[in-house]
Amino acid sequence: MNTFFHSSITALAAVLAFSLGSCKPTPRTGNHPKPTEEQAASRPDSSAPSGHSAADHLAAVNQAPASREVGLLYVDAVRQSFQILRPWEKDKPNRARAMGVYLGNGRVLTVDDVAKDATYVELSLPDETRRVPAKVLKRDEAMGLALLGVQHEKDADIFDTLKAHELGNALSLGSDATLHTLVNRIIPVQVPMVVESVDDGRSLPRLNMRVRGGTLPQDTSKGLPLLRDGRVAGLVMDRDSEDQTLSVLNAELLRRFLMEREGGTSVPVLGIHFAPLDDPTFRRYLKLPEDAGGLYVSDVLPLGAAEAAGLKKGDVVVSVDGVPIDSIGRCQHPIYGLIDANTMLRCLKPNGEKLCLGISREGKRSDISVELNRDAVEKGPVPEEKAGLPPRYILWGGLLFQPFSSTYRDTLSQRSNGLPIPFLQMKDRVKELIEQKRRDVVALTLIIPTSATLGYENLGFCIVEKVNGKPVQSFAQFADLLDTPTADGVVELSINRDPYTIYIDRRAAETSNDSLRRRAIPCLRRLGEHADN
Amino acid sequence: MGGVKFFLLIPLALLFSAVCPAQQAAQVPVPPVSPVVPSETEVDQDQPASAPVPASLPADPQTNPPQTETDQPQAAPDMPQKTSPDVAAAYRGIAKIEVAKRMPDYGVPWQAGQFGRGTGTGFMVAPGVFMTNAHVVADGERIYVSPYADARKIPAKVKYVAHEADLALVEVEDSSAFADVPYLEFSKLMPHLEDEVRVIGYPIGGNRLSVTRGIISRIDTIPYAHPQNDSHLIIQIDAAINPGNSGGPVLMGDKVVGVAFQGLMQANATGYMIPLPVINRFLRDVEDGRYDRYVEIGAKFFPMENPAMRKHFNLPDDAMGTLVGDVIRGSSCDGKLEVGDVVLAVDGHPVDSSGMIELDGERVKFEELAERAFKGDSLTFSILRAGKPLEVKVTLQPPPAAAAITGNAYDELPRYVQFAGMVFQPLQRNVIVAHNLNPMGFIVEMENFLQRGGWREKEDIVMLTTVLPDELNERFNDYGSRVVTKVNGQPVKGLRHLYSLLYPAPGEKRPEFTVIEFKDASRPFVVENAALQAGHARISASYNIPEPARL
Repeated sequence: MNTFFHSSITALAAVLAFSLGSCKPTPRTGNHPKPTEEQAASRPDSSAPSGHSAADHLAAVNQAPASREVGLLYVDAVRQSFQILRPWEKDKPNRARAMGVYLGNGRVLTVDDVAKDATYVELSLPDETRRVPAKVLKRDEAMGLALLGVQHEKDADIFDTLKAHELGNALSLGSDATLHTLVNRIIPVQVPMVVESVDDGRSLPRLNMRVRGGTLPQDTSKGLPLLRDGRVAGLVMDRDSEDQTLSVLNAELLRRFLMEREGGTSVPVLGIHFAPLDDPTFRRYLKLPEDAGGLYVSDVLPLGAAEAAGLKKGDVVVSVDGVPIDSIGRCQHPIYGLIDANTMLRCLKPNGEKLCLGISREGKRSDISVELNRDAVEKGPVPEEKAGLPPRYILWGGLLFQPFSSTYRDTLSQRSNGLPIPFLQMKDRVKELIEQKRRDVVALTLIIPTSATLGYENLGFCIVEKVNGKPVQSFAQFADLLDTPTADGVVELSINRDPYTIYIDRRAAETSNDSLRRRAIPCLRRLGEHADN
Repeated sequence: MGGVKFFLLIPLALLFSAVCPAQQAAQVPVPPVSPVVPSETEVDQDQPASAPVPASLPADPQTNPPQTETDQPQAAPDMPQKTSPDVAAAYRGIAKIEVAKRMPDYGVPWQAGQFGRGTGTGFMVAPGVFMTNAHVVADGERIYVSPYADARKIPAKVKYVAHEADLALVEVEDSSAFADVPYLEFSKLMPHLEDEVRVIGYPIGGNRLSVTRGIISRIDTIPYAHPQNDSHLIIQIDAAINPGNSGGPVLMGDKVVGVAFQGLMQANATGYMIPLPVINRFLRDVEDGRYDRYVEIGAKFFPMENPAMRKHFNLPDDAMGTLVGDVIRGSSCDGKLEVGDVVLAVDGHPVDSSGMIELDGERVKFEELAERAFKGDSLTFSILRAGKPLEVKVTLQPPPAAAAITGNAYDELPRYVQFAGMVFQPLQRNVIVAHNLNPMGFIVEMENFLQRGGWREKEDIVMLTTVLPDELNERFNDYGSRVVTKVNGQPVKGLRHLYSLLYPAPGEKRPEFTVIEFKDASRPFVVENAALQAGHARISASYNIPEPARL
């Protein structure tokens, strides 16, 4: 058989071969435009003196209050995430611990690590005299923060002995603040720290803070507060033991989180991909002055905030709210100083506000006002899975259908080191999908061998275009189409790979459903609360 | 078969031209021949008459009851019949073939590549004409044939080569050395499972003939390792086949039933030989003095096993009929077969639900019919279209030349264009392997090019494969390999087109900038044309590139 054409394609696609057995948890990856250049903030090379013990820190403590009076709690969580590639299953549970700071009114601020995919959360007093079940009041994955309260009103008195901390003013480069922590769980320690540099390599800017003349206490964990004048000025997000620095989220962002409505995030996604403009030839070609800066717009994501404001591929963004972007893509932030413009766009203003972008298009300057939102990752035809909600799926007769989300796509791509062609082709169809006003693209992601799927075992990883000749518009509507009886009892699925149409016997599918339900998978459907209509 | 690795049976001593030629001999692998291995019989080259004959001769083909005639002619008519007197005499027609090779480096396409040597086996099928594997002579610069029990090395050249079937015919310049040598005859009969065969050749680079014996273990269609993109019929045998056996005959009695050609990495005692249908097809194809390549049907077929699918097409529950799953644009059956047609029979052979027919007493994929056909031949498909029976005649053509990009290229120099330190190469298997290109960067383009008729609009998919750092491109040297889409706004239709866009004729007026766009790149590459002349002189000198392009 002379298979010049397809044997090679299959061979190349074999790279994509992916086995279910290898499913392991992976973090959900967002679709944020990546910063085009690594611009790790420079750190002054100050070698921290070593050999300090907890006792040294204790010596530095003045009139340490009793442990309960510092307003710190332990947060213990059991987390269990959903497997997006086997959506009826959850991963093995694991435990996480962080500190939380009491803000008053029954609210504890902590990091999102203990709230994400949490099945059980507990708050405890540092001296372990009291443990109470907690609930997540709100969380923001983009910010990495969570707010907790007690699960049962009767436990609210756990806060009675705790000192409530208010939110204070933001820190800036060179600012001093005090890290409040507990040594050996009970001895309160205050460590003087200074903001040494700003890390703009992540989604939001973080402060790199170093102990003034000493090393970090051993037990420094996530969720500890940095106080200034008795108010919370920052929250520890991470520690770098080697470098002896803390990665701290600034008070202005903590404040923004506290003001957010439940279930949302204030961190905008503009939907622009940038390229740097440090190539003098490219600048001359774009008719840009040699001595200025700016960022080249490589791509504008469909339905995103930037597209809605009229930004186009090939534009050059020269300023953000009047602040010029320099030649390596940085701009001057009022708090953080010179930071990456990508980070600036995310942290300067929250969703709902307007950002003014200075544009150069074909050598002409203009200003464009962008209303900030996350439409680029939430509204497109291939959106992110909704944060915190279990993935939607339908398992029918052994065929697994899922909404083709960017979360699913990126997880699969990571796991199998690439994507199958029917999924890759969707990239070029975005415009068409938007015109068709498809709310979900439905993918046939897996085929479990059953009597209904006989002969179809090697399909999978493709898009379902139609059911019984009717175009698929959304996941809920797809479920309805699947359930609508046909005269001959055969369901016809149009897919975007050969043989383009497959036929399933409804009765065989239902029989397979019964045996799947009995033997392996009790729930064959999750349409989700956020189902359409 | 996805994960199975085949190795080719040709020992290759790679050496660079800079290495002293005196060392060449030392690099040829020494044959680790062990006389205690019972299945291997050393033949004394000096005394062929007293050469030991294998202890038990295989049964005469005539006495083997269930033999079927292959429907192909067994040899080209210009190769007259002559019967070998006995089995030992047959060895005299089996020669060692030594090839000096130059393998171009697709990673650095303007350089000479690697020099090396290999040995294989060939057998005489007509006076002075030896059959061997294509991979023995591929990229050969100089070929010598050493006759059995003869120290001479007789220069030869390739007469015909079919890389896709891994077969070649080599002709010696002076056939007088072989004047009294009987040539080997092909069997008329395709062997069957459990038939006993002998593999004869010069394995592991040895100078002496080696014989191993085994039985036919399996008849199957598998990928051929030499072209990499093509599958044909093979016969698996359990005789030891080692590097150097390549091209050697597999004999049943004194007749050739196959050509040893590849082994399997992960399994012991599995050797593969090219069977008679593939050999006969090659010989018949070159009868007109030209090799025309295989023809193809150009469709994907889908098994009709699902009861609901059968019900939809009103097919009885008899496990017959296969579905047309996809039709490749521009292929032989484009416009003839349609997606959704049910193939019930081809050329009168009933097709079962998994696409198999019965041919010569063996169950094979029905595509085997196209395997044995030639350019211009036709197949008659008995199909059901929208429930109505229909006869469709498909005239078979070789796949378009563009399809060759999925296979290994041999005997040619790599094509490239260098511009402002950017090296452009057409997308082809050798380039993908040499640069270890990530399929995610081009697989959709490749699918459109090969399957959706993209090859009609363009000659090649052009990739940027290397950026040679220079001040012309110093801000653009970390963009990796990408598909080139446009030059100065014009869609690029192939490497030659790219060259004409980048290097316009001397009189032609150039714009101020040359702008090259790439798929999925964050920005176009821009160069000022005024800086090109000096830049090109600099790059050519510092990177030792003799020519800006090889088209």
